[in-house]
Amino acid sequence: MAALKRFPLWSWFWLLFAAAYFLLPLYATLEFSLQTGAHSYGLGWYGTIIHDPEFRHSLLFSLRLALETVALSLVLMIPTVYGIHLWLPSARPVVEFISVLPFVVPPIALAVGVIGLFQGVPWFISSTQLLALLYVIQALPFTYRALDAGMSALDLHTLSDAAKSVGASWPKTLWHVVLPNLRTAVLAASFLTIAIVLGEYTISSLLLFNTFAVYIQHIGRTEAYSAAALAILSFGFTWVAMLAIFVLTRGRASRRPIAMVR
Amino acid sequence: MTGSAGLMIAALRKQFGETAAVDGVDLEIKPGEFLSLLGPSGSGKTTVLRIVAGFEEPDSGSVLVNGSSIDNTPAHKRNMGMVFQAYSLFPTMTTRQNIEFGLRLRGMSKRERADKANEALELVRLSSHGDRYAHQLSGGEQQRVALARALALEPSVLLLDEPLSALDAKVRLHLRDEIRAIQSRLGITTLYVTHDQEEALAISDRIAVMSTGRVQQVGTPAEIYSAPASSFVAEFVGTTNRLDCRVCDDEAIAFDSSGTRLVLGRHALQKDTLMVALIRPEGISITPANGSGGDESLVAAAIRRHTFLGATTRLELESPLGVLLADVPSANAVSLPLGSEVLLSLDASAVRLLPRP
Repeated sequence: MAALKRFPLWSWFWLLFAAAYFLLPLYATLEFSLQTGAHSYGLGWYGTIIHDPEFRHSLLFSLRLALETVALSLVLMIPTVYGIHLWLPSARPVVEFISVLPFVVPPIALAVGVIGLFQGVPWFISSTQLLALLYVIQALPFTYRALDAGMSALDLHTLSDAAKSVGASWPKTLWHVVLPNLRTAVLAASFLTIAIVLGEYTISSLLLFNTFAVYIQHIGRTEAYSAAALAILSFGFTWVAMLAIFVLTRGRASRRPIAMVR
Repeated sequence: MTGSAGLMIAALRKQFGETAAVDGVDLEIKPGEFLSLLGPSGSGKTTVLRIVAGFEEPDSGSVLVNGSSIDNTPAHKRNMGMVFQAYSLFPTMTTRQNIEFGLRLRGMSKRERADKANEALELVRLSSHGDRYAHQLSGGEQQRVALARALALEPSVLLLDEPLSALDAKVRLHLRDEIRAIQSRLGITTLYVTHDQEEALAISDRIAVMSTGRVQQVGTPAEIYSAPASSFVAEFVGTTNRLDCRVCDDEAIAFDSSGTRLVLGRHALQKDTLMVALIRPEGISITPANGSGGDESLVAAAIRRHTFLGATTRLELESPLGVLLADVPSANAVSLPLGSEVLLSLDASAVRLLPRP
């Protein structure tokens, strides 16, 4: 009764409705992926997927792309966001606007635009580096926001001045002082980028790359049971990634300074 | 542990937009001296300190250490230790790692670093706190570690930017004495920024009082308190009564408000010159009204308010001279109830005369 009083009936209704909305399709997909006959269940479809060389190839290719994108995004964005916070705060609204452009410009427009722009350099259009560069743009809203939030939580001016006063140049300050405090933000940015790269279909398909998303789409069109198994596997990857963020960042928050007074 | 150096600030100017934050500051700090920059918020004291540290670039002027200009030396190469107003320990490093960080950047060996860190921790009496993180230390301990971190580098000049302002009163007093004791022991040239006049008076060899980007007066704490060069200094440092007056003759003045004469002794001021008389609350003596004995130099007054300050009580007095503040020993204040009539006399030797602006 006490729980009911604290949590009114309508709240229970919406909670259950939301749970059903998310969990029922998942349950249906899981059940479908486990069906090996009219009334028999097993992991056969999972085996088929895992043993498919294309699965491993496309997944590894996408993971490699994801790592390249993460590295490129961080190398580009960490000094940029640091610089904006420290030396160019007036540029913040401009960069914020630029960072949301990937939401406004559809991936198909980006891909077609890039193909048109680099028409004369076919080797570049067919290189995986181009794809990584485009994914950096796609991940920009998430990378920028995660790093911006991380740096806003720090008294960056005082920490940077303190580092300078003991003899650290700005790159050393960034590496030794700022970056260790951005662990959570960097991990969040990295995992969001990996999720985007693993799920991106339009650009890779248009540029004729056989990424994991392209493979999922292909399986979805040709093999219904395997597609359901693949969907559950992808869901599992995402959860593993989320758990990794949780485990890697656990206890870090308490190392933040307890008070920053200016 | 440190080698002290002389610091000179010459014709320093810094403008932020339309505002002149620093407007022609000249200062010389002798090797081993403790000089405080004292002033209200916005007086430019922190900007001066940040320019000396290399965090801000001046529009013009120069900073010299031991006679050599450091204007073109970047902040991280200036060899100046700094303690900030905000807690500035690196949160992901332990106390020891914080102290060793600067030493590591200078390429010191592990053993040398450990020795220096131990020495610095011992200096601030935190030897047992080497493995703690900033969030495991109190505010006072964090500032002591910040001091140890600055001193471990054996800086030529120590800069302190209101390091006590975030601490509670008791810790502030304790740490203030500790900073002064360490500074005296090491003989390190120190520039200390504060807006707390009591702190500046207690800790400094000399004080530079700043207002609107300019140095108003430089002097020892006693000089600043007892011989303020302007009514701003008199009113900012300690409490003062300010009374408009004019010179009557070659030894007396008369207060504008009541015409009351006060004999100061021989002076060289011209008759009828308009002046301001500044007198501290402790320069006014109070006697009960019935004990006057007909003395004409005494001024009648009524007690309007009592403010208990511990050993003394501050009285607000309504008198023909205007509203005056006077300090009496708290034990005597019991016999001076609110509303009672008293007689006050001004100690001529405690009156400071300044030209009226």
